[in-house]
Amino acid sequence: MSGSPSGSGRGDVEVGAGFGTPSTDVCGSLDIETNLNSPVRNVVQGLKRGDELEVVLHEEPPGRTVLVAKVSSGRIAGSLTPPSLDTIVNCIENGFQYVAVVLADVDGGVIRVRVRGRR
Amino acid sequence: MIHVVGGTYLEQCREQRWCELFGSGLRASLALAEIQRNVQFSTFIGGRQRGVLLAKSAKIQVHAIEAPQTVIFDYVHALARPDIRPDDYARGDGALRQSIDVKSDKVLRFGMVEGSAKVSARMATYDPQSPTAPVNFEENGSKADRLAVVANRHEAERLTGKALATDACKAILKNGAEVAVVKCGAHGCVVATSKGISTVPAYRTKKVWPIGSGDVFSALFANGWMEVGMSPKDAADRASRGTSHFVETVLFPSRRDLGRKGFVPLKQLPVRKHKKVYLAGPFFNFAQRWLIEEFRSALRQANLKVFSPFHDVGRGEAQLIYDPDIKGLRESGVVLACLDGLDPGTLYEIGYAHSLGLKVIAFVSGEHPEALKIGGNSTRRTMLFVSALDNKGVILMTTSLVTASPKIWLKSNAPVSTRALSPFLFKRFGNRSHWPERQRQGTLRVASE
Repeated sequence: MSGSPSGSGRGDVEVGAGFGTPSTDVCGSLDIETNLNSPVRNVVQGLKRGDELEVVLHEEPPGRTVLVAKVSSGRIAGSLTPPSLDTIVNCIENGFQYVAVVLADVDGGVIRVRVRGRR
Repeated sequence: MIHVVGGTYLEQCREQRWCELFGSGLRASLALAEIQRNVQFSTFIGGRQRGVLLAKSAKIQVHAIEAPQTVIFDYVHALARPDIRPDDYARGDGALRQSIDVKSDKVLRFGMVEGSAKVSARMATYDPQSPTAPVNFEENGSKADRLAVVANRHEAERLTGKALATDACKAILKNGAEVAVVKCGAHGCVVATSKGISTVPAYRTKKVWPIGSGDVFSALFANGWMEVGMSPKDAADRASRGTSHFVETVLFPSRRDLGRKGFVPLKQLPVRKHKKVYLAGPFFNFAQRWLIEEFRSALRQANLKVFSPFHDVGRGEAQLIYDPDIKGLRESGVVLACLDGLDPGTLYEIGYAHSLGLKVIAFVSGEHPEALKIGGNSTRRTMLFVSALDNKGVILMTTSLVTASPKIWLKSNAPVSTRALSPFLFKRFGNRSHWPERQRQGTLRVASE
Protein backbone atom coordinates (compact mmCIF):
# COMPACT_ATOMS: atom_id res chain seq x y z
CA MET A 1 0.00 0.00 0.00
CA SER A 2 1.29 3.40 -0.86
CA GLY A 3 2.74 5.14 2.14
CA SER A 4 2.85 2.09 4.35
CA PRO A 5 6.04 1.32 6.29
CA SER A 6 6.89 -1.61 4.07
CA GLY A 7 5.61 0.00 0.92
CA SER A 8 7.24 1.19 -2.22
CA GLY A 9 8.35 4.52 -0.93
CA ARG A 10 5.55 6.53 -2.39
CA GLY A 11 4.68 9.20 0.08
CA ASP A 12 6.44 8.10 3.22
CA VAL A 13 9.96 8.10 4.55
CA GLU A 14 9.60 4.78 6.36
CA VAL A 15 10.53 3.01 3.21
CA GLY A 16 12.02 -0.33 2.49
CA ALA A 17 12.18 -3.64 4.17
CA GLY A 18 15.59 -3.06 5.72
CA PHE A 19 17.94 -5.98 5.83
CA GLY A 20 17.12 -9.46 4.63
CA THR A 21 15.34 -10.55 1.50
CA PRO A 22 12.73 -8.02 0.45
CA SER A 23 9.41 -9.20 -0.87
CA THR A 24 8.70 -9.33 -4.57
CA ASP A 25 5.95 -6.77 -4.07
CA VAL A 26 8.35 -4.26 -2.54
CA CYS A 27 10.97 -4.74 -5.25
CA GLY A 28 8.46 -4.78 -8.07
CA SER A 29 6.61 -1.65 -7.05
CA LEU A 30 9.60 0.43 -5.96
CA ASP A 31 9.22 3.98 -7.22
CA ILE A 32 11.14 6.80 -5.56
CA GLU A 33 12.62 10.18 -6.35
CA THR A 34 16.09 11.09 -5.16
CA ASN A 35 19.19 13.18 -5.85
CA LEU A 36 21.99 12.11 -8.14
CA ASN A 37 24.94 12.69 -5.81
CA SER A 38 28.40 13.83 -6.86
CA PRO A 39 27.37 14.16 -10.51
CA VAL A 40 30.28 13.71 -12.91
CA ARG A 41 30.17 16.97 -14.79
CA ASN A 42 31.26 15.82 -18.23
CA VAL A 43 28.97 12.79 -18.04
CA VAL A 44 25.79 14.52 -16.90
CA GLN A 45 26.04 17.63 -19.02
CA GLY A 46 23.52 17.36 -21.77
CA LEU A 47 21.24 15.01 -19.88
CA LYS A 48 17.64 15.79 -20.67
CA ARG A 49 14.39 15.26 -18.92
CA GLY A 50 13.26 11.69 -19.52
CA ASP A 51 16.71 10.23 -20.13
CA GLU A 52 17.12 6.82 -18.51
CA LEU A 53 20.19 5.82 -16.53
CA GLU A 54 20.99 2.29 -15.48
CA VAL A 55 21.00 1.74 -11.71
CA VAL A 56 23.67 -0.73 -10.63
CA LEU A 57 25.85 -1.69 -7.69
CA HIS A 58 29.44 -0.56 -7.92
CA GLU A 59 32.35 -1.43 -5.66
CA GLU A 60 34.62 1.52 -4.98
CA PRO A 61 36.88 1.40 -3.13
CA PRO A 62 37.16 -2.40 -2.89
CA GLY A 63 34.89 -3.68 -0.16
CA ARG A 64 32.60 -0.66 -0.26
CA THR A 65 29.52 -1.12 -2.42
CA VAL A 66 27.67 1.94 -3.62
CA LEU A 67 24.58 2.40 -5.75
CA VAL A 68 25.35 4.33 -8.92
CA ALA A 69 23.59 5.48 -12.08
CA LYS A 70 25.27 4.93 -15.44
CA VAL A 71 24.63 6.47 -18.82
CA SER A 72 24.24 4.25 -21.87
CA SER A 73 27.97 4.35 -22.59
CA GLY A 74 28.55 2.71 -19.22
CA ARG A 75 30.11 5.75 -17.58
CA ILE A 76 29.04 6.55 -14.03
CA ALA A 77 26.92 9.68 -13.80
CA GLY A 78 26.71 9.80 -10.00
CA SER A 79 25.67 7.89 -6.91
CA LEU A 80 22.27 7.34 -5.31
CA THR A 81 21.67 7.37 -1.56
CA PRO A 82 17.91 7.41 -0.94
CA PRO A 83 16.56 6.42 2.47
CA SER A 84 15.43 3.14 0.90
CA LEU A 85 19.01 2.34 -0.17
CA ASP A 86 19.14 -0.98 1.69
CA THR A 87 15.94 -2.13 0.02
CA ILE A 88 17.11 -1.25 -3.47
CA VAL A 89 20.45 -2.94 -2.93
CA ASN A 90 18.73 -6.10 -1.69
CA CYS A 91 16.31 -6.07 -4.59
CA ILE A 92 19.14 -5.74 -7.13
CA GLU A 93 21.00 -8.55 -5.43
CA ASN A 94 17.83 -10.62 -5.85
CA GLY A 95 17.70 -10.00 -9.57
CA PHE A 96 15.56 -6.88 -9.96
CA GLN A 97 16.65 -4.19 -12.38
CA TYR A 98 16.04 -0.47 -12.06
CA VAL A 99 16.45 2.68 -14.08
CA ALA A 100 16.83 6.27 -12.93
CA VAL A 101 14.77 8.62 -15.07
CA VAL A 102 16.08 12.20 -15.18
CA LEU A 103 13.28 14.52 -14.03
CA ALA A 104 14.47 17.80 -15.52
CA ASP A 105 17.01 19.05 -18.03
CA VAL A 106 20.41 19.42 -16.39
CA ASP A 107 20.97 23.12 -15.72
CA GLY A 108 23.75 23.25 -13.17
CA GLY A 109 21.53 22.55 -10.18
CA VAL A 110 20.80 19.36 -8.33
CA ILE A 111 19.81 16.47 -10.59
CA ARG A 112 16.67 14.71 -9.46
CA VAL A 113 15.88 11.24 -10.75
CA ARG A 114 12.99 8.84 -10.41
CA VAL A 115 14.10 5.29 -9.68
CA ARG A 116 11.70 2.60 -10.88
CA GLY A 117 11.78 -0.93 -12.23
CA ARG A 118 13.08 -1.48 -15.73
CA ARG A 119 10.17 -2.05 -18.10
CA MET B 1 39.91 20.17 11.12
CA ILE B 2 36.38 20.90 12.28
CA HIS B 3 34.36 18.48 14.34
CA VAL B 4 30.65 18.77 13.61
CA VAL B 5 28.09 17.47 16.05
CA GLY B 6 24.43 17.56 15.16
CA GLY B 7 21.41 15.72 13.89
CA THR B 8 21.04 13.27 11.04
CA TYR B 9 17.40 13.32 10.07
CA LEU B 10 15.09 11.99 7.44
CA GLU B 11 13.63 14.99 5.66
CA GLN B 12 10.44 14.56 3.73
CA CYS B 13 8.76 17.33 1.79
CA ARG B 14 5.55 15.99 0.35
CA GLU B 15 4.70 18.76 -2.09
CA GLN B 16 8.12 18.54 -3.72
CA ARG B 17 8.29 14.76 -3.40
CA TRP B 18 11.59 15.11 -1.59
CA CYS B 19 12.73 12.40 0.79
CA GLU B 20 16.40 12.37 1.75
CA LEU B 21 18.63 11.68 4.73
CA PHE B 22 20.26 14.92 5.83
CA GLY B 23 19.58 16.91 9.00
CA SER B 24 21.63 19.84 10.25
CA GLY B 25 24.76 17.96 11.23
CA LEU B 26 25.08 15.74 8.17
CA ARG B 27 24.27 18.54 5.73
CA ALA B 28 26.80 20.88 7.37
CA SER B 29 29.45 18.16 7.39
CA LEU B 30 28.95 17.50 3.69
CA ALA B 31 29.01 21.23 2.95
CA LEU B 32 32.28 21.56 4.85
CA ALA B 33 33.76 18.55 3.05
CA GLU B 34 33.35 20.45 -0.24
CA ILE B 35 35.72 23.17 0.90
CA GLN B 36 38.07 21.66 3.48
CA ARG B 37 39.73 18.41 4.45
CA ASN B 38 39.38 16.48 7.65
CA VAL B 39 35.78 16.86 8.71
CA GLN B 40 34.65 14.74 11.64
CA PHE B 41 30.99 14.23 12.37
CA SER B 42 29.29 12.93 15.52
CA THR B 43 25.60 12.14 15.44
CA PHE B 44 22.77 9.81 16.42
CA ILE B 45 21.34 7.43 13.86
CA GLY B 46 18.57 4.84 13.79
CA GLY B 47 19.69 1.40 12.64
CA ARG B 48 17.86 1.33 9.32
CA GLN B 49 19.51 4.54 8.13
CA ARG B 50 23.06 3.75 9.24
CA GLY B 51 23.93 2.33 5.82
CA VAL B 52 22.58 5.45 4.08
CA LEU B 53 24.58 7.68 6.41
CA LEU B 54 27.78 5.79 5.65
CA ALA B 55 27.05 5.80 1.92
CA LYS B 56 26.77 9.59 2.01
CA SER B 57 29.89 10.03 4.11
CA ALA B 58 32.75 9.06 1.83
CA LYS B 59 34.45 12.42 2.44
CA ILE B 60 33.88 12.70 6.17
CA GLN B 61 34.72 10.64 9.23
CA VAL B 62 31.54 9.62 11.03
CA HIS B 63 31.04 8.73 14.69
CA ALA B 64 27.46 7.47 14.82
CA ILE B 65 25.72 6.55 18.05
CA GLU B 66 22.86 4.11 17.77
CA ALA B 67 19.46 5.68 18.41
CA PRO B 68 16.10 3.91 18.67
CA GLN B 69 14.89 5.61 15.51
CA THR B 70 16.07 8.20 13.05
CA VAL B 71 14.15 11.42 13.60
CA ILE B 72 11.83 12.47 10.78
CA PHE B 73 11.14 16.05 9.75
CA ASP B 74 8.01 15.92 7.63
CA TYR B 75 7.13 19.06 5.66
CA VAL B 76 3.86 19.44 3.78
CA HIS B 77 5.70 22.00 1.67
CA ALA B 78 9.10 23.57 1.94
CA LEU B 79 7.87 26.67 3.78
CA ALA B 80 5.71 24.78 6.26
CA ARG B 81 6.58 24.03 9.86
CA PRO B 82 7.75 20.43 9.97
CA ASP B 83 5.95 17.65 11.75
CA ILE B 84 8.65 15.98 13.83
CA ARG B 85 8.46 12.29 14.65
CA PRO B 86 8.65 10.43 16.97
CA ASP B 87 6.38 12.68 19.00
CA ASP B 88 8.49 12.19 22.11
CA TYR B 89 11.41 13.96 20.46
CA ALA B 90 9.21 16.74 19.19
CA ARG B 91 7.99 17.32 22.74
CA GLY B 92 11.55 17.28 24.08
CA ASP B 93 10.72 14.36 26.34
CA GLY B 94 13.67 14.01 28.75
CA ALA B 95 13.35 10.24 28.98
CA LEU B 96 14.57 9.83 25.42
CA ARG B 97 17.35 12.39 25.47
CA GLN B 98 20.91 11.25 25.07
CA SER B 99 24.21 13.10 25.07
CA ILE B 100 27.32 13.13 22.90
CA ASP B 101 30.56 14.45 24.40
CA VAL B 102 32.90 16.16 21.95
CA LYS B 103 36.36 17.47 22.82
CA SER B 104 38.12 19.11 19.92
CA ASP B 105 39.99 22.26 18.92
CA LYS B 106 37.22 23.54 16.65
CA VAL B 107 33.63 22.42 16.90
CA LEU B 108 30.46 23.23 14.99
CA ARG B 109 27.56 22.27 17.21
CA PHE B 110 23.89 22.12 16.26
CA GLY B 111 20.93 21.84 18.56
CA MET B 112 19.25 18.44 18.27
CA VAL B 113 15.73 17.30 19.06
CA GLU B 114 16.70 13.77 20.10
CA GLY B 115 19.60 14.60 22.40
CA SER B 116 22.36 17.01 23.18
CA ALA B 117 26.06 17.54 22.54
CA LYS B 118 28.34 18.57 25.38
CA VAL B 119 31.24 20.40 23.80
CA SER B 120 34.67 21.34 25.05
CA ALA B 121 36.58 23.38 22.47
CA ARG B 122 38.97 26.25 21.92
CA MET B 123 36.71 27.65 19.21
CA ALA B 124 33.08 26.73 18.75
CA THR B 125 30.29 27.81 16.44
CA TYR B 126 26.88 27.07 17.89
CA ASP B 127 23.64 26.95 15.92
CA PRO B 128 20.89 26.31 18.47
CA GLN B 129 18.51 24.99 15.79
CA SER B 130 15.25 24.04 17.35
CA PRO B 131 11.75 24.66 16.10
CA THR B 132 10.46 24.40 19.65
CA ALA B 133 12.92 25.23 22.41
CA PRO B 134 16.46 26.41 21.57
CA VAL B 135 18.86 26.40 24.53
CA ASN B 136 21.98 28.39 25.33
CA PHE B 137 25.37 26.86 24.50
CA GLU B 138 26.54 26.49 28.09
CA GLU B 139 23.25 25.13 29.42
CA ASN B 140 24.41 21.50 29.14
CA GLY B 141 27.92 22.22 30.46
CA SER B 142 29.50 23.03 27.09
CA LYS B 143 32.60 25.23 27.14
CA ALA B 144 34.54 27.14 24.50
CA ASP B 145 37.30 29.75 24.80
CA ARG B 146 35.89 31.52 21.78
CA LEU B 147 32.23 31.13 20.90
CA ALA B 148 30.16 32.29 17.95
CA VAL B 149 26.39 31.86 18.15
CA VAL B 150 24.59 31.67 14.80
CA ALA B 151 20.81 31.67 15.12
CA ASN B 152 17.84 32.60 13.01
CA ARG B 153 15.61 35.44 14.11
CA HIS B 154 13.02 33.24 15.79
CA GLU B 155 15.60 31.18 17.67
CA ALA B 156 17.42 34.32 18.75
CA GLU B 157 14.19 35.80 20.06
CA ARG B 158 13.43 32.63 22.00
CA LEU B 159 16.96 32.54 23.42
CA THR B 160 17.09 36.17 24.48
CA GLY B 161 13.54 37.44 24.65
CA LYS B 162 14.51 40.21 22.22
CA ALA B 163 12.50 40.59 19.04
CA LEU B 164 14.92 42.93 17.25
CA ALA B 165 17.94 41.20 15.73
CA THR B 166 20.34 43.87 16.99
CA ASP B 167 18.98 43.60 20.53
CA ALA B 168 19.19 39.81 20.39
CA CYS B 169 22.81 40.07 19.24
CA LYS B 170 23.68 42.31 22.18
CA ALA B 171 22.04 39.87 24.59
CA ILE B 172 23.98 36.95 23.09
CA LEU B 173 27.26 38.86 23.49
CA LYS B 174 26.34 39.78 27.04
CA ASN B 175 25.86 36.08 27.71
CA GLY B 176 29.52 35.41 26.90
CA ALA B 177 29.75 34.83 23.15
CA GLU B 178 32.51 36.55 21.19
CA VAL B 179 30.37 36.69 18.03
CA ALA B 180 26.62 36.80 17.50
CA VAL B 181 25.05 36.26 14.10
CA VAL B 182 21.28 36.54 13.72
CA LYS B 183 19.93 35.45 10.36
CA CYS B 184 16.91 37.28 8.96
CA GLY B 185 16.12 35.33 5.79
CA ALA B 186 15.98 37.46 2.66
CA HIS B 187 16.96 40.47 4.77
CA GLY B 188 20.43 39.02 5.34
CA CYS B 189 21.92 38.83 8.81
CA VAL B 190 23.19 40.94 11.65
CA VAL B 191 26.74 40.30 12.87
CA ALA B 192 27.86 41.60 16.26
CA THR B 193 31.10 41.58 18.20
CA SER B 194 32.39 43.76 21.02
CA LYS B 195 33.69 46.12 18.32
CA GLY B 196 30.29 46.81 16.85
CA ILE B 197 27.30 45.64 14.86
CA SER B 198 27.15 45.28 11.09
CA THR B 199 24.78 43.82 8.54
CA VAL B 200 25.40 41.37 5.74
CA PRO B 201 22.99 41.07 2.81
CA ALA B 202 21.33 38.03 1.37
CA TYR B 203 22.09 37.54 -2.30
CA ARG B 204 19.66 37.35 -5.16
CA THR B 205 18.71 33.96 -6.55
CA LYS B 206 16.34 32.82 -9.24
CA LYS B 207 14.75 30.28 -6.94
CA VAL B 208 14.98 29.17 -3.37
CA TRP B 209 15.14 25.75 -1.78
CA PRO B 210 14.77 26.73 1.86
CA ILE B 211 15.21 23.38 3.63
CA GLY B 212 18.72 23.21 5.04
CA SER B 213 19.83 26.71 4.06
CA GLY B 214 20.59 27.53 7.71
CA ASP B 215 22.77 24.44 8.02
CA VAL B 216 24.84 25.47 5.04
CA PHE B 217 25.18 29.03 6.33
CA SER B 218 26.47 27.81 9.70
CA ALA B 219 28.92 25.40 8.06
CA LEU B 220 30.35 28.09 5.79
CA PHE B 221 30.54 30.60 8.62
CA ALA B 222 32.32 28.07 10.84
CA ASN B 223 34.83 27.36 8.09
CA GLY B 224 35.49 31.04 7.46
CA TRP B 225 35.76 32.13 11.08
CA MET B 226 37.40 29.11 12.70
CA GLU B 227 39.40 27.50 9.88
CA VAL B 228 40.30 30.29 7.46
CA GLY B 229 40.64 33.00 10.11
CA MET B 230 38.28 35.50 8.54
CA SER B 231 36.63 38.30 10.50
CA PRO B 232 33.09 37.44 11.65
CA LYS B 233 31.61 39.86 9.15
CA ASP B 234 33.64 38.52 6.23
CA ALA B 235 32.88 34.95 7.25
CA ALA B 236 29.16 35.77 7.41
CA ASP B 237 29.25 37.50 4.05
CA ARG B 238 30.95 34.54 2.38
CA ALA B 239 28.47 32.24 4.11
CA SER B 240 25.61 34.33 2.74
CA ARG B 241 26.99 34.05 -0.79
CA GLY B 242 27.46 30.32 -0.42
CA THR B 243 23.98 29.92 0.97
CA SER B 244 22.54 31.70 -2.05
CA HIS B 245 24.37 29.17 -4.23
CA PHE B 246 22.85 26.34 -2.21
CA VAL B 247 19.29 27.60 -2.21
CA GLU B 248 19.42 28.14 -5.95
CA THR B 249 21.06 24.85 -6.95
CA VAL B 250 20.53 22.58 -3.91
CA LEU B 251 24.25 21.84 -4.27
CA PHE B 252 26.98 22.64 -1.77
CA PRO B 253 29.27 25.41 -2.98
CA SER B 254 32.89 24.67 -3.83
CA ARG B 255 35.70 27.11 -3.07
CA ARG B 256 35.42 28.24 -6.67
CA ASP B 257 31.70 28.89 -6.25
CA LEU B 258 32.37 30.91 -3.10
CA GLY B 259 34.94 33.03 -4.85
CA ARG B 260 33.10 33.72 -8.04
CA LYS B 261 31.96 37.20 -8.94
CA GLY B 262 28.42 38.10 -9.82
CA PHE B 263 26.61 37.70 -6.51
CA VAL B 264 24.01 40.47 -6.39
CA PRO B 265 23.02 41.67 -2.92
CA LEU B 266 19.35 42.13 -2.23
CA LYS B 267 18.58 45.70 -1.41
CA GLN B 268 16.70 46.40 1.75
CA LEU B 269 14.11 49.08 1.95
CA PRO B 270 12.84 50.55 5.19
CA VAL B 271 9.81 48.70 6.49
CA ARG B 272 7.67 51.80 6.00
CA LYS B 273 8.34 51.53 2.26
CA HIS B 274 7.36 47.89 2.03
CA LYS B 275 4.29 47.36 -0.09
CA LYS B 276 1.66 44.76 0.55
CA VAL B 277 1.36 41.47 -1.23
CA TYR B 278 -2.17 41.04 -2.58
CA LEU B 279 -3.12 37.41 -2.12
CA ALA B 280 -5.53 36.56 -4.92
CA GLY B 281 -7.26 33.23 -5.11
CA PRO B 282 -10.58 31.48 -4.71
CA PHE B 283 -11.86 30.56 -1.25
CA PHE B 284 -15.06 28.71 -2.01
CA ASN B 285 -14.11 25.40 -0.41
CA PHE B 286 -11.87 24.14 2.39
CA ALA B 287 -8.99 23.14 0.12
CA GLN B 288 -8.89 26.59 -1.44
CA ARG B 289 -9.10 28.29 1.94
CA TRP B 290 -6.32 26.06 3.29
CA LEU B 291 -4.07 27.10 0.42
CA ILE B 292 -4.81 30.76 1.06
CA GLU B 293 -4.00 30.24 4.75
CA GLU B 294 -0.69 28.56 3.91
CA PHE B 295 0.36 31.31 1.54
CA ARG B 296 -0.63 34.03 3.98
CA SER B 297 1.23 32.31 6.79
CA ALA B 298 4.39 31.88 4.69
CA LEU B 299 4.31 35.49 3.53
CA ARG B 300 3.81 36.78 7.05
CA GLN B 301 6.61 34.59 8.35
CA ALA B 302 8.82 36.29 5.78
CA ASN B 303 7.89 39.57 7.47
CA LEU B 304 5.72 40.74 4.60
CA LYS B 305 2.56 42.76 4.75
CA VAL B 306 -0.31 40.86 3.17
CA PHE B 307 -3.70 41.93 1.90
CA SER B 308 -5.89 38.87 1.70
CA PRO B 309 -9.44 39.41 0.45
CA PHE B 310 -10.48 36.30 2.36
CA HIS B 311 -9.07 37.58 5.65
CA ASP B 312 -9.33 41.32 5.21
CA VAL B 313 -12.68 41.60 3.43
CA GLY B 314 -14.36 38.23 3.81
CA ARG B 315 -17.08 36.46 1.90
CA GLY B 316 -20.09 38.26 0.52
CA GLU B 317 -22.01 39.49 -2.47
CA ALA B 318 -20.00 40.93 -5.34
CA GLN B 319 -21.36 44.42 -4.84
CA LEU B 320 -20.21 44.37 -1.22
CA ILE B 321 -16.73 42.95 -1.65
CA TYR B 322 -15.71 44.52 -4.95
CA ASP B 323 -14.74 47.98 -3.74
CA PRO B 324 -12.74 46.91 -0.66
CA ASP B 325 -10.99 44.19 -2.69
CA ILE B 326 -9.96 46.66 -5.37
CA LYS B 327 -8.89 49.18 -2.76
CA GLY B 328 -6.62 46.52 -1.29
CA LEU B 329 -5.29 45.71 -4.73
CA ARG B 330 -4.56 49.35 -5.47
CA GLU B 331 -2.64 49.64 -2.20
CA SER B 332 -0.50 46.59 -2.93
CA GLY B 333 2.84 46.30 -4.68
CA VAL B 334 2.67 42.77 -6.02
CA VAL B 335 0.07 40.07 -6.51
CA LEU B 336 0.41 36.43 -5.60
CA ALA B 337 -2.35 34.60 -7.43
CA CYS B 338 -3.50 31.03 -6.85
CA LEU B 339 -4.52 30.06 -10.36
CA ASP B 340 -5.61 26.48 -9.82
CA GLY B 341 -9.22 26.24 -10.94
CA LEU B 342 -8.90 29.35 -13.13
CA ASP B 343 -11.29 31.20 -10.88
CA PRO B 344 -12.79 34.14 -12.80
CA GLY B 345 -12.41 36.51 -9.86
CA THR B 346 -8.73 35.72 -9.64
CA LEU B 347 -8.27 36.19 -13.38
CA TYR B 348 -10.01 39.54 -13.09
CA GLU B 349 -7.67 40.56 -10.28
CA ILE B 350 -4.66 39.58 -12.39
CA GLY B 351 -5.88 41.70 -15.26
CA TYR B 352 -6.64 44.61 -12.97
CA ALA B 353 -3.21 44.31 -11.36
CA HIS B 354 -1.56 44.36 -14.74
CA SER B 355 -3.42 47.52 -15.63
CA LEU B 356 -1.92 49.08 -12.52
CA GLY B 357 1.56 47.94 -13.56
CA LEU B 358 1.88 45.47 -10.69
CA LYS B 359 4.00 42.35 -10.88
CA VAL B 360 1.98 39.15 -10.66
CA ILE B 361 3.28 35.83 -9.43
CA ALA B 362 0.99 32.96 -10.29
CA PHE B 363 0.88 29.66 -8.46
CA VAL B 364 -0.32 26.75 -10.54
CA SER B 365 -0.11 23.12 -9.53
CA GLY B 366 -2.88 21.27 -11.27
CA GLU B 367 -4.00 22.86 -14.48
CA HIS B 368 -3.86 21.27 -17.90
CA PRO B 369 -0.79 22.43 -19.84
CA GLU B 370 -3.05 23.90 -22.50
CA ALA B 371 -4.42 26.35 -19.96
CA LEU B 372 -0.93 27.42 -19.00
CA LYS B 373 0.15 28.75 -22.37
CA ILE B 374 0.22 32.15 -20.88
CA GLY B 375 3.64 33.42 -21.65
CA GLY B 376 5.26 31.36 -24.30
CA ASN B 377 9.01 31.43 -23.93
CA SER B 378 8.77 34.36 -21.56
CA THR B 379 6.93 32.41 -18.91
CA ARG B 380 9.33 31.39 -16.20
CA ARG B 381 8.79 27.92 -14.84
CA THR B 382 10.30 26.64 -11.66
CA MET B 383 10.30 23.36 -9.83
CA LEU B 384 11.05 24.90 -6.48
CA PHE B 385 9.75 27.51 -4.14
CA VAL B 386 10.69 30.94 -5.26
CA SER B 387 11.47 33.62 -2.77
CA ALA B 388 13.26 36.64 -4.06
CA LEU B 389 13.40 40.22 -2.99
CA ASP B 390 12.75 42.47 -5.92
CA ASN B 391 13.80 46.05 -6.35
CA LYS B 392 10.63 47.30 -4.76
CA GLY B 393 11.44 45.51 -1.55
CA VAL B 394 8.83 42.82 -1.72
CA ILE B 395 9.32 39.11 -1.62
CA LEU B 396 7.83 37.15 -4.44
CA MET B 397 6.93 33.63 -3.61
CA THR B 398 5.37 30.75 -5.41
CA THR B 399 5.70 27.05 -5.68
CA SER B 400 5.89 24.98 -8.75
CA LEU B 401 5.45 25.56 -12.37
CA VAL B 402 4.55 29.05 -13.46
CA THR B 403 5.51 32.60 -12.87
CA ALA B 404 3.30 34.37 -15.31
CA SER B 405 3.41 37.71 -16.95
CA PRO B 406 -0.15 38.95 -17.25
CA LYS B 407 0.96 41.30 -19.99
CA ILE B 408 1.80 38.30 -22.09
CA TRP B 409 -1.32 36.58 -20.87
CA LEU B 410 -3.47 39.19 -22.49
CA LYS B 411 -1.61 38.96 -25.77
CA SER B 412 -1.41 35.19 -25.88
CA ASN B 413 -3.67 32.63 -27.42
CA ALA B 414 -5.36 31.45 -24.28
CA PRO B 415 -8.83 30.79 -25.60
CA VAL B 416 -9.94 28.49 -22.82
CA SER B 417 -9.07 30.69 -19.92
CA THR B 418 -10.00 34.11 -21.21
CA ARG B 419 -12.61 33.82 -23.92
CA ALA B 420 -14.70 31.24 -22.15
CA LEU B 421 -14.67 33.15 -18.92
CA SER B 422 -15.26 36.63 -20.23
CA PRO B 423 -19.07 36.52 -20.07
CA PHE B 424 -18.86 35.48 -16.47
CA LEU B 425 -16.43 38.24 -15.71
CA PHE B 426 -18.85 40.85 -16.95
CA LYS B 427 -21.81 39.23 -15.30
CA ARG B 428 -20.07 39.27 -11.96
CA PHE B 429 -18.37 42.59 -12.14
CA GLY B 430 -20.75 44.65 -14.20
CA ASN B 431 -19.89 46.67 -17.25
CA ARG B 432 -16.61 47.64 -18.78
CA SER B 433 -16.32 50.82 -16.82
CA HIS B 434 -15.01 48.83 -13.88
CA TRP B 435 -11.78 48.27 -15.77
CA PRO B 436 -9.10 50.91 -15.68
CA GLU B 437 -8.21 52.38 -19.05
CA ARG B 438 -5.20 50.22 -19.87
CA GLN B 439 -7.04 47.12 -18.79
CA ARG B 440 -10.07 47.87 -20.95
CA GLN B 441 -7.99 48.04 -24.07
CA GLY B 442 -6.27 44.73 -23.45
CA THR B 443 -8.97 42.62 -21.97
CA LEU B 444 -11.89 43.63 -24.13
CA ARG B 445 -10.01 42.77 -27.25
CA VAL B 446 -9.50 39.26 -25.94
CA ALA B 447 -13.02 39.06 -24.61
CA SER B 448 -14.55 39.94 -27.94
CA GLU B 449 -12.81 37.13 -29.79
